[in-house]
Amino acid sequence: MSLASKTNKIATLPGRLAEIPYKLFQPLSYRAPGSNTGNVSDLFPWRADNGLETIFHLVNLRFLIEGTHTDAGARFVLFDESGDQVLDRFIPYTNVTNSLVSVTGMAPSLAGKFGVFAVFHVFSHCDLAITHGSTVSERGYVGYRYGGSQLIDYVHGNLDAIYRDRTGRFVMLGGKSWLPRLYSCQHVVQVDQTFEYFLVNPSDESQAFKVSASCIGGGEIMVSKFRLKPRGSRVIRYTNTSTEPRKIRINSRLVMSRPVVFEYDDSTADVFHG
Amino acid sequence: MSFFPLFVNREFGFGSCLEIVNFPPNDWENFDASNRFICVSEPCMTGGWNNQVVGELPIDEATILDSSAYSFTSNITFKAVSLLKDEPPEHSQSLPDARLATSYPTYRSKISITKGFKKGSYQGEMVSFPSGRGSSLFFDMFPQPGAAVNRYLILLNAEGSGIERVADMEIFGLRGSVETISALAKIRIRSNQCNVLDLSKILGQFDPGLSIVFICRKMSVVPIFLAIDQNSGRISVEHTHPPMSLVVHGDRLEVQRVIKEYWFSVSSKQNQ
Repeated sequence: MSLASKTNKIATLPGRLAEIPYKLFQPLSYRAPGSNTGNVSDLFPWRADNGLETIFHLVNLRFLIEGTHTDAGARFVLFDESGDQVLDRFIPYTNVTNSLVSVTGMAPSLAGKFGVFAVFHVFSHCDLAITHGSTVSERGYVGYRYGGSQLIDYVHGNLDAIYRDRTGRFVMLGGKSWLPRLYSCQHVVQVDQTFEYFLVNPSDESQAFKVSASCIGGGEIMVSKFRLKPRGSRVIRYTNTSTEPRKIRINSRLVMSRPVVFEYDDSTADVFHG
Repeated sequence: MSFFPLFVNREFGFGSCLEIVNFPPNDWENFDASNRFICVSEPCMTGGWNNQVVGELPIDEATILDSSAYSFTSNITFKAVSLLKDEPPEHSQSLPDARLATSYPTYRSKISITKGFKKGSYQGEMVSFPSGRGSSLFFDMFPQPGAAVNRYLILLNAEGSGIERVADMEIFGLRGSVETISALAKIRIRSNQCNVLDLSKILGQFDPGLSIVFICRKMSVVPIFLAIDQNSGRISVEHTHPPMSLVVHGDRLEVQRVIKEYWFSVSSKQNQ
């Protein structure tokens, strides 16, 4: 270790000690599912509101991992905004890597609504993952079409949120803390800009969320305060009507409450992580 | 150490835009809150990086850097933007150390690709790859069946030493089984650059039965898929994950090594 590196470690010691209450007896990553014969999935946002159509890029994951194309397809399980299951449908792979599944086209009853969905691939086992103590994870790519556009705007999954065991029971994997934590979106909302923040509860308990917009340098206004049941979701629309840029901050007991962000202009939906 | 990429491509007429913030994503990890110098580094062909401080970002504030405000040439299509506590030297042997380490999540930036008045964004950051080595494996993602949508693959690389070298990005296609794998193209790419492949030209129209595998045996890259609707100008952009993201928990690095070895092997047999 270099002297500079040693000095830096000593200088940051108080800061490191202050982290301990946030690390002790609470998982910082997603919990292990307890079994690895199935796959973990993200809870991907589906939106059939606001002129959006949601599409999933379905890929045979075992083929990417082991070159095996003997599996039949995947089960799509949709949850409404309250976290209640509204659909469970088997979708066969129509090819190895290029199936496009219209999630919001699965049922007319989804129109105008939003929620989350999980994708559970139907395979007996994945030898490579099992051998190394790992579990296959579907954190793939969700696309959104806006206003009838032919362009699909994709965003990748980033939550290893849910597992379904052999009995069909859902195991929620999202880490939760006994201390409240703040997540600050890694962008600011400029004056007159409007963003929508899609928030999910990937934990196994109901969670309280506070979303606030703070001025650069201080001062804060509450945007929304709500609770989400496990698998529940909420879209928070925020327009910055103030005279200066605002930071969006999310307070909860989730280890990381990073939202998916939707930004619109006249003809475009730009979707990215916040 | 992480930095944020600023890049352009003159041939296809797009640039990029960074929104960088001087506040961490969480309130509990150890973070050195201080004003930061905004450093724009470009690779020096003979090795190392030329660093230029373009401003100072006060704590708790954000700023936007647009590639149109910076000089790019055919040899310099990529610059690394770092937030630094100390003013960097004009020339350094490696990319300046930003020390913005947070892990839950990683300190990131909103990165947009721009063309005209349109933009598409993703959230990201980069770390410099080991100099003179590395490899890449990824699959063709983000299909765009629309007939008027052009697709491009952006391959970003930055190696600590800044020394330029080249490698081949091999593109393979297969239909339903690995036994059908065949070589489609081989494109020369450069380190410390924004390499752009015109996928619409290389692969043609969307063919759902054709799976595409990208392999570079001698260089690591960040693959970013860009799609532009030729009628409306709308832009879609997102990056893919490395193979280790196909699993969680356990020895993910080893799983990635085996996956790479498998695909490198089946594609090599095809080459023989």
